[in-house]
Amino acid sequence: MSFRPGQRVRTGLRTTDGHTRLPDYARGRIGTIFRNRGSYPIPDELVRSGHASDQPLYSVRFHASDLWGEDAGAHDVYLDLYESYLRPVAE
Amino acid sequence: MTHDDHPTSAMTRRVAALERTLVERGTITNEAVDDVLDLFTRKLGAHHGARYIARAWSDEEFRERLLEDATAVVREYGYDLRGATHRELPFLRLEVVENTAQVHNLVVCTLCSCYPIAMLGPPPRWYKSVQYRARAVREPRAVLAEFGVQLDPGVEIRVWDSNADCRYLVLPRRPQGTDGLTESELASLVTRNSLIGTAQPLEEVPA
Repeated sequence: MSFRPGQRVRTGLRTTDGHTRLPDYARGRIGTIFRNRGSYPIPDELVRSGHASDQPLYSVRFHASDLWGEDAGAHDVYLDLYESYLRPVAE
Repeated sequence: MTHDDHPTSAMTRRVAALERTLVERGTITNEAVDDVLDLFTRKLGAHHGARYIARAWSDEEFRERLLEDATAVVREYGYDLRGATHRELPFLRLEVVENTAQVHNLVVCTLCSCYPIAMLGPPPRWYKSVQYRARAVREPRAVLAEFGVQLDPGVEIRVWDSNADCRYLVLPRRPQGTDGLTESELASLVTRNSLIGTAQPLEEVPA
Protein backbone atom coordinates (compact mmCIF):
# COMPACT_ATOMS: atom_id res chain seq x y z
CA MET A 1 0.00 0.00 0.00
CA SER A 2 1.68 3.19 -1.07
CA PHE A 3 0.25 6.66 -0.60
CA ARG A 4 0.29 9.83 -2.66
CA PRO A 5 0.47 13.47 -1.56
CA GLY A 6 -2.95 14.83 -0.66
CA GLN A 7 -4.32 11.43 0.30
CA ARG A 8 -6.09 11.19 3.65
CA VAL A 9 -4.85 8.53 6.05
CA ARG A 10 -5.60 7.30 9.54
CA THR A 11 -2.84 6.23 11.90
CA GLY A 12 -3.03 2.88 13.66
CA LEU A 13 -4.10 2.61 17.29
CA ARG A 14 -1.42 0.07 18.02
CA THR A 15 1.42 -0.65 15.63
CA THR A 16 3.73 -2.81 17.73
CA ASP A 17 4.21 -4.37 21.15
CA GLY A 18 7.58 -2.70 21.48
CA HIS A 19 9.50 0.24 20.06
CA THR A 20 7.72 2.48 17.57
CA ARG A 21 8.14 5.94 16.07
CA LEU A 22 4.42 6.63 16.12
CA PRO A 23 3.91 8.91 19.14
CA ASP A 24 0.92 8.21 21.40
CA TYR A 25 -0.67 11.58 20.66
CA ALA A 26 -0.92 10.74 16.97
CA ARG A 27 -2.52 7.30 17.28
CA GLY A 28 -5.89 6.74 15.62
CA ARG A 29 -5.79 10.23 14.04
CA ILE A 30 -6.66 11.41 10.55
CA GLY A 31 -4.07 13.33 8.57
CA THR A 32 -3.05 14.10 4.99
CA ILE A 33 0.01 12.81 3.16
CA PHE A 34 2.33 15.77 2.49
CA ARG A 35 5.48 14.21 1.00
CA ASN A 36 7.29 10.94 0.58
CA ARG A 37 10.58 11.11 2.51
CA GLY A 38 12.25 8.04 1.01
CA SER A 39 12.52 4.49 2.36
CA TYR A 40 14.34 3.33 5.49
CA PRO A 41 14.63 0.21 7.65
CA ILE A 42 11.54 0.22 9.86
CA PRO A 43 12.79 1.02 13.41
CA ASP A 44 10.06 -1.09 15.08
CA GLU A 45 11.77 -4.21 13.64
CA LEU A 46 15.30 -2.87 13.61
CA VAL A 47 15.52 -2.54 17.40
CA ARG A 48 14.44 -6.16 17.89
CA SER A 49 16.73 -7.98 15.51
CA GLY A 50 19.19 -5.48 14.08
CA HIS A 51 17.66 -6.14 10.66
CA ALA A 52 14.60 -4.66 9.03
CA SER A 53 13.14 -4.26 5.59
CA ASP A 54 12.90 -0.78 4.08
CA GLN A 55 9.60 1.00 4.36
CA PRO A 56 8.46 4.26 2.78
CA LEU A 57 8.46 7.19 5.20
CA TYR A 58 5.82 9.88 4.74
CA SER A 59 5.52 13.38 6.08
CA VAL A 60 1.89 13.54 7.24
CA ARG A 61 0.10 16.78 8.08
CA PHE A 62 -2.32 16.88 11.01
CA HIS A 63 -4.52 19.80 11.96
CA ALA A 64 -4.14 20.64 15.64
CA SER A 65 -7.89 20.17 16.12
CA ASP A 66 -7.63 16.59 14.81
CA LEU A 67 -4.99 15.86 17.43
CA TRP A 68 -6.09 17.87 20.44
CA GLY A 69 -9.78 18.66 19.92
CA GLU A 70 -11.74 21.68 18.82
CA ASP A 71 -10.23 24.14 21.32
CA ALA A 72 -6.71 23.51 20.01
CA GLY A 73 -4.96 26.26 18.09
CA ALA A 74 -4.96 26.60 14.33
CA HIS A 75 -1.47 25.17 13.79
CA ASP A 76 -0.52 22.06 11.86
CA VAL A 77 1.79 19.29 13.07
CA TYR A 78 3.83 17.42 10.47
CA LEU A 79 4.94 13.95 11.52
CA ASP A 80 7.25 11.56 9.69
CA LEU A 81 5.47 8.20 9.74
CA TYR A 82 6.33 4.83 8.24
CA GLU A 83 3.91 3.23 5.82
CA SER A 84 2.79 0.40 8.12
CA TYR A 85 1.50 3.00 10.63
CA LEU A 86 -1.02 4.29 8.08
CA ARG A 87 -4.34 3.16 6.63
CA PRO A 88 -6.20 4.82 3.77
CA VAL A 89 -9.34 6.78 4.62
CA ALA A 90 -12.27 6.40 2.23
CA GLU A 91 -12.62 9.61 0.21
CA MET B 1 34.58 26.93 42.54
CA THR B 2 35.75 23.81 44.33
CA HIS B 3 34.99 20.52 42.71
CA ASP B 4 32.46 19.53 45.38
CA ASP B 5 30.34 22.64 44.83
CA HIS B 6 29.64 21.67 41.28
CA PRO B 7 26.13 20.22 40.91
CA THR B 8 27.28 17.52 38.53
CA SER B 9 30.47 16.62 40.36
CA ALA B 10 29.16 13.17 41.35
CA MET B 11 28.37 12.40 37.72
CA THR B 12 31.66 13.94 36.58
CA ARG B 13 33.58 11.67 38.95
CA ARG B 14 31.59 8.67 37.80
CA VAL B 15 32.29 9.42 34.13
CA ALA B 16 35.99 9.98 34.87
CA ALA B 17 36.17 6.64 36.72
CA LEU B 18 34.46 4.90 33.82
CA GLU B 19 36.83 6.46 31.29
CA ARG B 20 39.86 5.51 33.41
CA THR B 21 38.70 1.90 33.68
CA LEU B 22 37.96 1.59 29.96
CA VAL B 23 41.34 3.10 29.07
CA GLU B 24 43.15 0.78 31.52
CA ARG B 25 41.46 -2.21 29.93
CA GLY B 26 42.38 -1.00 26.47
CA THR B 27 38.76 -0.69 25.30
CA ILE B 28 39.19 2.99 24.39
CA THR B 29 42.04 5.50 24.34
CA ASN B 30 42.15 8.97 25.91
CA GLU B 31 42.84 10.35 22.43
CA ALA B 32 39.65 8.78 21.05
CA VAL B 33 37.62 10.35 23.87
CA ASP B 34 39.24 13.72 23.24
CA ASP B 35 38.43 13.42 19.52
CA VAL B 36 34.76 12.78 20.28
CA LEU B 37 34.62 15.69 22.73
CA ASP B 38 36.32 17.94 20.20
CA LEU B 39 33.86 16.88 17.52
CA PHE B 40 30.77 17.62 19.59
CA THR B 41 31.94 20.74 21.40
CA ARG B 42 33.94 22.50 18.69
CA LYS B 43 33.70 21.04 15.19
CA LEU B 44 29.94 20.57 15.04
CA GLY B 45 27.73 23.52 15.71
CA ALA B 46 25.20 26.08 14.57
CA HIS B 47 27.95 28.02 12.75
CA HIS B 48 27.68 25.36 10.04
CA GLY B 49 23.91 25.70 9.69
CA ALA B 50 24.32 29.48 9.76
CA ARG B 51 26.65 29.36 6.74
CA TYR B 52 23.98 27.51 4.80
CA ILE B 53 21.36 30.10 5.68
CA ALA B 54 23.63 33.02 4.78
CA ARG B 55 24.35 31.40 1.40
CA ALA B 56 20.62 30.84 0.83
CA TRP B 57 19.92 34.51 1.67
CA SER B 58 22.62 35.61 -0.77
CA ASP B 59 22.13 33.19 -3.64
CA GLU B 60 18.61 32.58 -4.94
CA GLU B 61 19.54 29.49 -6.93
CA PHE B 62 21.20 27.95 -3.84
CA ARG B 63 18.10 28.73 -1.78
CA GLU B 64 15.86 26.98 -4.28
CA ARG B 65 18.09 23.91 -4.38
CA LEU B 66 18.21 23.79 -0.59
CA LEU B 67 14.42 23.87 -0.32
CA GLU B 68 14.08 21.31 -3.11
CA ASP B 69 16.63 18.74 -1.90
CA ALA B 70 18.74 19.77 1.09
CA THR B 71 20.20 16.28 1.46
CA ALA B 72 21.79 16.45 -1.98
CA VAL B 73 23.14 19.96 -1.36
CA VAL B 74 24.71 18.97 1.98
CA ARG B 75 26.20 15.84 0.44
CA GLU B 76 27.78 18.03 -2.21
CA TYR B 77 29.11 20.82 0.06
CA GLY B 78 29.62 19.02 3.40
CA TYR B 79 27.82 19.92 6.60
CA ASP B 80 30.11 22.92 7.08
CA LEU B 81 29.66 24.17 3.50
CA ARG B 82 33.41 23.63 3.13
CA GLY B 83 33.49 20.01 2.12
CA ALA B 84 33.45 18.29 5.54
CA THR B 85 32.56 14.65 5.11
CA HIS B 86 29.91 12.80 7.05
CA ARG B 87 32.18 9.95 7.98
CA GLU B 88 32.05 10.65 11.69
CA LEU B 89 28.40 11.60 11.81
CA PRO B 90 26.12 10.43 9.02
CA PHE B 91 22.61 11.65 8.74
CA LEU B 92 20.16 10.21 6.33
CA ARG B 93 18.00 13.02 5.13
CA LEU B 94 17.66 16.74 5.69
CA GLU B 95 14.70 18.97 4.94
CA VAL B 96 14.93 22.76 5.02
CA VAL B 97 11.66 24.53 5.83
CA GLU B 98 11.33 28.21 5.03
CA ASN B 99 9.84 30.94 7.20
CA THR B 100 7.91 33.57 5.28
CA ALA B 101 5.61 36.46 6.12
CA GLN B 102 2.78 33.93 6.21
CA VAL B 103 4.43 30.80 7.70
CA HIS B 104 6.56 30.12 10.79
CA ASN B 105 8.22 26.73 11.27
CA LEU B 106 9.12 25.10 14.58
CA VAL B 107 11.12 21.88 15.01
CA VAL B 108 10.69 19.38 17.85
CA CYS B 109 11.26 15.69 18.47
CA THR B 110 8.51 14.50 20.80
CA LEU B 111 10.02 11.02 21.22
CA CYS B 112 13.58 12.05 22.08
CA SER B 113 15.80 14.88 20.79
CA CYS B 114 16.43 14.29 17.08
CA TYR B 115 17.76 17.19 15.10
CA PRO B 116 20.62 17.83 12.65
CA ILE B 117 23.52 17.69 15.13
CA ALA B 118 26.18 18.15 12.45
CA MET B 119 24.77 21.57 11.56
CA LEU B 120 23.49 22.67 14.98
CA GLY B 121 25.77 21.02 17.56
CA PRO B 122 24.42 18.97 20.45
CA PRO B 123 20.78 19.79 21.31
CA PRO B 124 20.31 22.31 24.12
CA ARG B 125 18.83 21.11 27.40
CA TRP B 126 15.45 22.76 26.76
CA TYR B 127 15.11 20.97 23.41
CA LYS B 128 15.36 17.66 25.25
CA SER B 129 13.00 18.70 28.06
CA VAL B 130 9.64 16.96 28.45
CA GLN B 131 7.99 20.37 28.68
CA TYR B 132 9.21 21.60 25.31
CA ARG B 133 8.51 18.28 23.60
CA ALA B 134 4.98 18.09 24.98
CA ARG B 135 4.03 21.72 24.49
CA ALA B 136 5.60 22.45 21.09
CA VAL B 137 3.08 20.21 19.31
CA ARG B 138 0.15 21.26 21.49
CA GLU B 139 0.50 25.02 21.99
CA PRO B 140 3.36 26.24 19.78
CA ARG B 141 2.16 29.85 19.77
CA ALA B 142 2.42 30.04 23.57
CA VAL B 143 5.82 28.32 23.52
CA LEU B 144 7.09 30.73 20.86
CA ALA B 145 5.87 33.72 22.88
CA GLU B 146 7.84 32.46 25.89
CA PHE B 147 10.94 32.33 23.66
CA GLY B 148 10.21 35.94 22.68
CA VAL B 149 8.87 35.17 19.21
CA GLN B 150 5.68 37.16 18.78
CA LEU B 151 3.78 36.21 15.65
CA ASP B 152 0.84 37.99 14.07
CA PRO B 153 -2.38 36.03 14.63
CA GLY B 154 -2.63 35.35 10.89
CA VAL B 155 0.75 33.62 10.63
CA GLU B 156 0.42 29.89 10.01
CA ILE B 157 2.49 27.74 12.37
CA ARG B 158 3.94 24.46 11.13
CA VAL B 159 5.42 22.17 13.76
CA TRP B 160 7.80 19.49 12.48
CA ASP B 161 7.92 16.50 14.82
CA SER B 162 11.07 14.75 13.63
CA ASN B 163 11.31 11.36 15.24
CA ALA B 164 12.22 9.15 12.26
CA ASP B 165 14.94 9.20 9.61
CA CYS B 166 14.53 12.81 8.53
CA ARG B 167 16.00 15.95 10.13
CA TYR B 168 14.78 19.52 9.84
CA LEU B 169 16.47 22.90 9.59
CA VAL B 170 14.54 26.17 9.57
CA LEU B 171 15.43 28.78 6.96
CA PRO B 172 14.63 31.98 8.91
CA ARG B 173 13.50 35.22 7.27
CA ARG B 174 16.34 37.53 6.33
CA PRO B 175 16.22 40.58 8.62
CA GLN B 176 15.43 43.89 6.97
CA GLY B 177 18.21 46.38 6.34
CA THR B 178 20.87 43.71 5.75
CA ASP B 179 21.34 44.28 2.02
CA GLY B 180 24.93 45.49 2.35
CA LEU B 181 26.18 42.65 4.54
CA THR B 182 28.67 40.05 3.40
CA GLU B 183 27.81 36.37 3.55
CA SER B 184 29.91 35.89 6.69
CA GLU B 185 28.27 38.90 8.35
CA LEU B 186 24.88 37.44 7.45
CA ALA B 187 25.92 34.10 9.00
CA SER B 188 26.66 35.89 12.29
CA LEU B 189 22.97 36.87 12.49
CA VAL B 190 21.84 33.25 12.42
CA THR B 191 21.59 31.73 15.90
CA ARG B 192 21.05 28.09 16.79
CA ASN B 193 17.55 28.84 18.07
CA SER B 194 16.62 30.61 14.84
CA LEU B 195 17.50 27.36 13.02
CA ILE B 196 15.10 25.45 15.30
CA GLY B 197 12.39 28.10 14.99
CA THR B 198 12.41 29.33 18.60
CA ALA B 199 13.97 32.69 17.70
CA GLN B 200 14.20 35.17 14.88
CA PRO B 201 17.70 35.87 13.56
CA LEU B 202 19.62 38.78 15.09
CA GLU B 203 18.96 42.12 13.41
CA GLU B 204 22.48 43.46 13.75
CA VAL B 205 25.91 41.90 13.42
CA PRO B 206 27.10 41.14 16.97
CA ALA B 207 30.01 43.27 18.16
